[in-house]
Amino acid sequence: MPIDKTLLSGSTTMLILRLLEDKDMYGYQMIEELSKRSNDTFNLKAGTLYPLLHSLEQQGMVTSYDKNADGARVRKYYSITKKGRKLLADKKAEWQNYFTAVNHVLQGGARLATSY
Amino acid sequence: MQRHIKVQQYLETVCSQIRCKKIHADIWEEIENHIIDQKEAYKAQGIDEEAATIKALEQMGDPVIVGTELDRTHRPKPEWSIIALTALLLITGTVIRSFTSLQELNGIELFNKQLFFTLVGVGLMVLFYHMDFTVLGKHPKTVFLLLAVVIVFLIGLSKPTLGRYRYASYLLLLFPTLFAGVVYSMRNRGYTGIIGCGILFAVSFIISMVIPSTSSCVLLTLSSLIVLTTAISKGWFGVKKLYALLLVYLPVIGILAAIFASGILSERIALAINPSIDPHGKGYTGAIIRQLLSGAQFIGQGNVPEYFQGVSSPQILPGINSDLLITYIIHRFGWLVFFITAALLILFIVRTFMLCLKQKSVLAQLVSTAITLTFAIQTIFYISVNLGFQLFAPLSLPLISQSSSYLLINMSLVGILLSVFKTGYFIKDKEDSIKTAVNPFIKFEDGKLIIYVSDGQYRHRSRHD
Repeated sequence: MPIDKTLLSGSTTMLILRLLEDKDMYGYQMIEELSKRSNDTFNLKAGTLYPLLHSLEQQGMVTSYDKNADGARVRKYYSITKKGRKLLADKKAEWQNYFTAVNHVLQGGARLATSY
Repeated sequence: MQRHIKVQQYLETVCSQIRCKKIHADIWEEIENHIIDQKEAYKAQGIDEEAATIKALEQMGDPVIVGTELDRTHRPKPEWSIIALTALLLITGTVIRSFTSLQELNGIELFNKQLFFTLVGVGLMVLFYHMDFTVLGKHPKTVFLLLAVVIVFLIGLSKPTLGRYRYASYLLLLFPTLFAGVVYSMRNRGYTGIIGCGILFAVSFIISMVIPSTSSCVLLTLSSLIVLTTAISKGWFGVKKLYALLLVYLPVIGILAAIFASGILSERIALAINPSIDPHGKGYTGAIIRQLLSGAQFIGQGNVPEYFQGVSSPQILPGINSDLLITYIIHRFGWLVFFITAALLILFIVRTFMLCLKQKSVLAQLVSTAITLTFAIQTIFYISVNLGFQLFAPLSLPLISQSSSYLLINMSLVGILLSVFKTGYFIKDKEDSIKTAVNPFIKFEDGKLIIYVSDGQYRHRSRHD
């Protein structure tokens, strides 16, 4: 199911960092993995991914290196840094707060509805 | 494989939005790889080549938006912290000299001259800031030898003052920076590359001995050694690090041992530690400095030893604007002024050193490290002499002490440094396709030293391997 874009954009950084927490990846691999893990919910465009990755690299959240993947082509792999892991932890906490708050409101609304 | 015209157009559109051209190749490769991966995935689903390409491009997103976003990320940014610290150091120097220059006979004249050269220096800094520093990695040997020729030419033209070719000596401070480019260009050149670096270093070393300037000589040796060691520790030469380090440090240790054995150094060290062993000869300045410092206050004018009462400061201390500026300001204004000046310099050096470590490209890292070391070693020499430890003669206190020539050299170095920090992030080290040592003539294998007599022989061998 496609999802509202604005909801996704804020949390893309968190999702990307979460993917890199497991292993180093190249851009295409991240999009594939994200799509797979979210049951095709997140269909991230390459045009969104690369500017994001490059600015994360400038901020020191990730680093990159070239690796010869399948003989002919050299791929650019990204790897999460210590600083990146900390940002991920912060983002996760922020997301949890938001998620809990939304749930409270939604459930609260539901309880009110049933009490009438 | 032929690149599809639409893919070509897509990539061109993306790159045309990005103003920093240095990053184009990098981005082009990454995005093209992505398109190919995406296309292959579609083809695996049974879509034909043409349709898969179109679909893959659609998946990428609008090339203008992608390019604009990337442009925003990769805009070269000036390193404001270094610019601000440079300005602060220049101002501090000018303020201090505006007080000290009044003490000397032609002080005002010298002060105005230095002020004029400060402006010229700022111009030079801006010039080098806008120049592409990667030229140091592209034509390192040419630039290095050109500097050597210019210095030799100056030695030939000028007459020595007090037994030293002064005008030629200032330019020596540029050698470490150019040496960094030489080291960079020796990637994967094996032991031959290290020996090549050694030969060029020897050229600069010999020139500094001819001048003669022991301080510059030590500065060149220390900074070149550190730059070379940094490169070796990164595996830059494509050889075993331990052997490479031995190749560099065994001769160094040998030479040091010879110098120690000659007794010159031990005499110098003894005198530096305790100048009072020869208070009227070689230890004269050192002894006076210590006397003045012992009478210094935290803030305000310090006490002068009795037998100097009535003698003016420049008569007690020769070079209160140039070589002994710090001693004088401690004596005249107190330790606080020294602490502020030293703190600014330390902040400058520590900040540049931290930025050096952040550099991704080896060229950027080696060049910025060489410049930082040139500043750090000048500062250490100068301050230790001014605190009464006269081991090596002071060159200059970067950006502060009186010397128009050193100021111009140091400002040029700041310009190169800013250029590195502005664009260093985008520089990609030239990828050499040959990962193993290129035609080495010396090789270690199974503990055996193998020397190849000719290049041809090696090529012949490797083809059959």
